[in-house]
Amino acid sequence: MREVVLRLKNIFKEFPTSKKNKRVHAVSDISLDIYENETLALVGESGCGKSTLGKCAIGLIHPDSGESIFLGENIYDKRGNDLKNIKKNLQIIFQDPYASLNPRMSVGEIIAEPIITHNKGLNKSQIKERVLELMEDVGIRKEYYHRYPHQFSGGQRQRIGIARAIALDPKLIVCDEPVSALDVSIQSQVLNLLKDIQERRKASYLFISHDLSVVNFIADRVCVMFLGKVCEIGNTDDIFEKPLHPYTRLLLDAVPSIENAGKKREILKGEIPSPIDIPTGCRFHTRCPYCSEICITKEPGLREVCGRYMACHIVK
Amino acid sequence: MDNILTIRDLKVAFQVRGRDAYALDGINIDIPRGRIVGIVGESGCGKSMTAMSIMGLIKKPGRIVAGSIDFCGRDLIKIGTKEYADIRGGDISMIFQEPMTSLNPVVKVGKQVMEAIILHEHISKPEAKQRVIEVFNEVGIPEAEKRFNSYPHELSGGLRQRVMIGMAMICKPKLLIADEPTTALDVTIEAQILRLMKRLCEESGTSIIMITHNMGVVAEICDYVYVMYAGRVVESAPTKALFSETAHPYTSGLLKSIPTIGKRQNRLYTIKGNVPNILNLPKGCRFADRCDFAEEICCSDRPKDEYITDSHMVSCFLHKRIEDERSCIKIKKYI
Repeated sequence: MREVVLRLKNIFKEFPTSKKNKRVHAVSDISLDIYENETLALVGESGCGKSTLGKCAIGLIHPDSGESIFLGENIYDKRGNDLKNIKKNLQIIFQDPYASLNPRMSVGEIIAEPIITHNKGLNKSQIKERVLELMEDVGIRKEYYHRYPHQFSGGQRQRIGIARAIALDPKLIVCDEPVSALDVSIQSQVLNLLKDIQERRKASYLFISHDLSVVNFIADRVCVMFLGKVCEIGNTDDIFEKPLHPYTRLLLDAVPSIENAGKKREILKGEIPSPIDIPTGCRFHTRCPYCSEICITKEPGLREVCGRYMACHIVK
Repeated sequence: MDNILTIRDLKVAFQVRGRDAYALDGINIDIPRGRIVGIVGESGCGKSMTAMSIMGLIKKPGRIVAGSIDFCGRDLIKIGTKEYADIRGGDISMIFQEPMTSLNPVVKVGKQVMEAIILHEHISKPEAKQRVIEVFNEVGIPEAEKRFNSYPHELSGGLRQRVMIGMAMICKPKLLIADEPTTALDVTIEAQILRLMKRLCEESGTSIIMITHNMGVVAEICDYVYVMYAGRVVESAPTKALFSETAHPYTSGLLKSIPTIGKRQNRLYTIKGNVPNILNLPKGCRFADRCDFAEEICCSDRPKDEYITDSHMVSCFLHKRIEDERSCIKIKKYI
């Protein structure tokens, strides 16, 4: 059995709205294990809580209740230096490479920042050496050390973001839609780079994406979310070959592709319900073509079916 | 076939530091009546610039320096501002990528749609309101009468895009330009919108120009495709032929670099390098420095548009070699 790097236990997160007794239920009771050297993908439509869960996992936001356990300890209980030592191992790559780099810092400074913060003992030349190594690792030429973010293209900026995230050899990197702002030809370069880095450095990825073809390429396991809940979680091949949950099936069916062009498809009706007024019972029942009475009244729990976990009353 | 729009040798230039930089460098595009035509390419290739030229919305320092845009017998480049205002939103209308920023946030959506029809058809307000509600029903907005009085922020992204489509379709345009209409939407909503656009095209006979970077979207709804790279059309073909008989190395590179669902791939194909800057374009074929096949001639001369079949155009010196390679792969499959 592989070792668990990070264990999320019963994460709940709500956000207040301008109305007093209304709250946005972003994440409701999600438990996940992320194993070493694996890529776990979180997929779902916008507003389903993927990014909130990713940020909770590494402690960028604290959930209302629940635990995120790294090396046997709950990261939300830690303060000061203990927390700093844990955070060294939990890094993030953001979606927008234009907004996530400080425009007034040079590439060298951006990548050096985490190294300086966490390794007080290193002198200037040692730090520079580490930065240059990292730049080479992600495919940025060494001559660009003194350049500023605006002098780079989107793909190159994302490489800088990746270099910053791997600077401390983290155990887990949350990739929050890292390629969705990039062009197709650049997207494939960055995806290959992420895969290479994982092979070399043995890190785990929590890969957040709405693009199912990207997830199919990079993930070992997939977790499909709907309105703050897990619908289905299992191995990538299993889920893409034979999706069981009705939502997973319709989601996969909706992706326009060259192979399936012109084929009759079942199209999901309606829109994702508001996370403020959550439907009763199964959260998907308002859009589900197989909805029956029990779905409206009782919320389905996750159960094991065909080597994966799934939450649906109807599918056997 | 009769074409509703014919673009010939269109060139758009921007004055940068005293030099002309060509954002569009001699493109030819035909839009047949009642068909959906896709324009694909990466950012900066000139897709949106083409749309803006048709709409007459090129802003300074940009300007059209050569070519013609023939729309139903009129050259759009030569007509006056007033005449253009009649065509815009009437015979030609446009949907933008980001439905939030293209709607006025402080005006009710119904009123915004009404504006278009009152301007172009001179009908009374109650009549116009009736038409708007009909159109809202047509584009699948639930509770159309209630939604008439909603503000844009009260609607979801999918509904906002439906409002935009309604606004574009209300004057029954002959040509609809959709600039990445589904890029900001979720896949399930994207599927709904694509189906809606296809239905509208079939029912009303409107031609649609679909600008996108997503090959899946092209495969789904387009009849004919233009592939653009750095301000030029590099390949154009009927959708099926483009995917099965790909002739340009750029098109084939793009297709290979998209991950496929249901296929385990260890690595993705990558096109080396980046899209060139229009201020510093290569002299010959603009794709030469990123191309796996490039030879000397590619770096020195501009390739001509060659027709492989009646409807399949490619602009490449070496397309024969790529076709040969492709047929080799096909033969290998059979052996």
